[in-house]
Amino acid sequence: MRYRWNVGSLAWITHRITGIILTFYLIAHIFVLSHLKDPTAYNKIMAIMKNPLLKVGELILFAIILKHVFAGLRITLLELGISTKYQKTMAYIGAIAVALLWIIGAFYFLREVI
Amino acid sequence: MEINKHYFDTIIIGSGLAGCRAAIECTGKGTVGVLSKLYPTRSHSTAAQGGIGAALGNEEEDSPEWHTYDTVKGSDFLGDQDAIEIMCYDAIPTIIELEHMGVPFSRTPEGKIAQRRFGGHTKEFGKAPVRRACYSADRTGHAVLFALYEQCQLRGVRFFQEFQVLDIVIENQAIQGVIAINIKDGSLHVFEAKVVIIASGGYGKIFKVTSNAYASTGECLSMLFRQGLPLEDMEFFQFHPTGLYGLGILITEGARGEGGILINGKGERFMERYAPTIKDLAPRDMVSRAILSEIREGRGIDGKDYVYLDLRHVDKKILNERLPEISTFCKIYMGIDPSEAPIPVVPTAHYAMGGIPTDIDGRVLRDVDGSFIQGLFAAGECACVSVHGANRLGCNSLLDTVVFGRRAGKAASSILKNSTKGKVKRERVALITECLEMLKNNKGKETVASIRKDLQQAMMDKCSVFRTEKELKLLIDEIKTLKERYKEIEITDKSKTFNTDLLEAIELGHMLTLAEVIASSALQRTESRGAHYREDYPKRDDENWMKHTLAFQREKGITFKYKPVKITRFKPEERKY
Amino acid sequence: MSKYYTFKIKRYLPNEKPITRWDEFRVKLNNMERVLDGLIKIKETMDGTLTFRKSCAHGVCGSCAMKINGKNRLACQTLVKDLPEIIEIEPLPSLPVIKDLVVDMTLFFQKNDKVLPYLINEEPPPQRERIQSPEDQHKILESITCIMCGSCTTSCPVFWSDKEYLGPSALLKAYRFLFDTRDKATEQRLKAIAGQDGIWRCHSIFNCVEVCPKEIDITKHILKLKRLAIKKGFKGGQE
Repeated sequence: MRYRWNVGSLAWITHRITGIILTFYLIAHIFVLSHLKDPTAYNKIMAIMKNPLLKVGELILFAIILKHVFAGLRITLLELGISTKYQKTMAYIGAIAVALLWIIGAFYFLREVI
Repeated sequence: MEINKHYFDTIIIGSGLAGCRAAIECTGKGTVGVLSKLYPTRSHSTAAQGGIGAALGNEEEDSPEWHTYDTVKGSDFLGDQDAIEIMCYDAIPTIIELEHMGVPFSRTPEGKIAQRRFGGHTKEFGKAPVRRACYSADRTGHAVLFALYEQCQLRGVRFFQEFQVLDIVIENQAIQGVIAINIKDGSLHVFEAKVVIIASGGYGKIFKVTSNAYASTGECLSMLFRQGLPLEDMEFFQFHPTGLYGLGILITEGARGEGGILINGKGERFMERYAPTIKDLAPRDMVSRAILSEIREGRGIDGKDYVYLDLRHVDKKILNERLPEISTFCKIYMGIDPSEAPIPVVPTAHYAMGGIPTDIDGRVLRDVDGSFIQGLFAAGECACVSVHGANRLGCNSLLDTVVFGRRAGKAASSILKNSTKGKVKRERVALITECLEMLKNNKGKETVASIRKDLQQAMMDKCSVFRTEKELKLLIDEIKTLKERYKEIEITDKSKTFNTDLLEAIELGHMLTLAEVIASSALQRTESRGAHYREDYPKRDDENWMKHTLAFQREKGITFKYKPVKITRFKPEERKY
Repeated sequence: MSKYYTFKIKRYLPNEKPITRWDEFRVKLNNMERVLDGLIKIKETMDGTLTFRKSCAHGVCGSCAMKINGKNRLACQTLVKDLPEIIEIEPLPSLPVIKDLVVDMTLFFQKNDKVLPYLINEEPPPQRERIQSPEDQHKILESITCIMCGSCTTSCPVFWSDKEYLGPSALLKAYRFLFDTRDKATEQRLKAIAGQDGIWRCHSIFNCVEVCPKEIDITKHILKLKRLAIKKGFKGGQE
């Protein structure tokens, strides 16, 4: 049987996974930016970015960033001395904050697109 | 079979408090090896809860003289007073030394070692309870054991963990060494030594309901007994009054020391009738008898076979700070919170006062005349110095282990220079190998579990708190039948790796031997004293029985010799509390 | 009230083929009985070869830690009534198995030895006890209850992937001495735990806290060690 997950280990593993994804994203991002040498290239890439699939991708990316930020905040707060009694509460609050901010963000994001 | 040979100047069997304390004393004076059938910190000393007694006087006025008197009176005047005096006076420096070694004792507001009340410990020779038990919450044994084990590590003591001793080799009245099996891979090891200290602990597993660990089976005692050495005062086995109902898990006497009281089915604080002065803090033998008498007379809770230990009126803060462990036990195993509900308790087999007879330096005696086995020592619960006599007082057992562990260690290392290296003969090892193989390949219809269960039940029914001639005789017959059945056992595990099936069979053989010694000793002592209560002889009989029993294995069966009790300061008196 | 439970036990018998297999046993247990009672019943009446460690049977010796339904716990402290009818039992994860539920704890104990697990104070002791206020004693109160059962370290994902990591149990032991006012070996001990295999490898996953049978908040203690190390100027092993 697989070792049972709990709040702490889930928070840790999602923090790690989102971190890895963000690293790869940043490399891709810098790679793309480095190719924006002239207006034509810029327009070409902007056109590609209009692809609805990539829009969905950006929404997912937004969620990942939020998740990573709040997981990082939780750990930092714990290390600064916030009682470990609240580690679960903080993970829950973080999850709620991620969800709320994502919905608000997605709302503005979609409004712009549509 | 390949045999691994080792040589150590000192070999210690057992890694509980006595073993570790002795080991510390022996380091720097030769090589030391400690054999333990568990990992050292798993030894059952770790389960001791309440405290370790010493008249430090940190909380109120106290003196080692009062401590001596209480111990003598607690032992029902069967304790040897020279040894008791040594223990009670040595207690103070010993505890201070433990503190220096790092034991995390609970503290008084001034930062001294905190002390609490305990059963039978009084001021001014019995006037009122006194705070004498030094404690570390209700995990005192754990705290002391870890500190001692850690000090052993610091001093480079070599531990052989999960090594089961199979034989203690004595030849020409001198110790030669020890034969053991490495449980992990089943290999045989011979440890030759100049001195051997036995600190193997108790044997409560002989009884059905016990606070003792599965490992407490007493095989070392039986090994000596089978070689013709005596066992002293085996009829005295202490039943702790407050074991969790149905499980036997210990609820420390400290619970009563902190204000807990015992109540029966009618809601009465019945100890007021049995011990008017110190009530619930009477010695354990009296409280256990009182509880069982209440139950017998139909005053158990709802007429059933238990009473309540009530802690509801004790301050919650005290429960949390000083008795956290037992509170957790109640929650986990009974589903009750002791601050809200009373705890159902019954007496549980707890401590063996009897054991390997030793002198005040731990030398193992071989006869009533004081002659001893060269190089063999014993300390702790397996030994009988005797400081506990017919009944041990609470918090004196941890004290016994460290005081006499230390003395035995000292005495052992002092003779190293003039001792010759032991020699274990090949034939002896061959004999052990043969026994092991026989046990492994034996065919029959009996199992270890069924015989063990019958033995534990029989001992519980016929040889616990109340005893009679009729029942004891029946019991001895029963044990003989069980011994016959033991010849028919068959074990299923034939492998060499971690064969607990085989080990349990070995342990059972020794338990049967010990059970017979206990029952026979109980039968011959026709009086009631301390923990040994004969319903057919309910009075203490100083005229005929102010003496220690020494049981010997002889061809025709178990025979007895007697040794006078050493009385120095306190003349026997009626034991009232 | 008794009920039947199915014990699914992961076996490891070095002399048999195949070495590992899953065995199932049906045992009737009442609602006061524990997983350990079930295991003993199986050993006594169904299969004498079933092997596991046991001693005190009430959660103070630390012998019977094992993985029960996906979580490390003490068999003697886990009541069957709190578990589903199917109880899956495996040895502690990530340590070499000797036989059935018995694992080789050597590595676990070696970690402990690395943190100088003994009181060090070279000043000559006073005549009486060393004075320590109750407040100071309370600082180590939680950490001294550790029974070294190994549940925590073997539940730690960092330890699973890196056997060099000291692990929660050893770090807790270090805390027990670092925060004992009587101990004087702060620098030495910090050096032992602030290296690359020490406190900085703890990622506050809290698996150890979830499993500790003594309910010690181990992560809290490790976080305090981290703060102490920073205060004393130790960073990743360099002074």
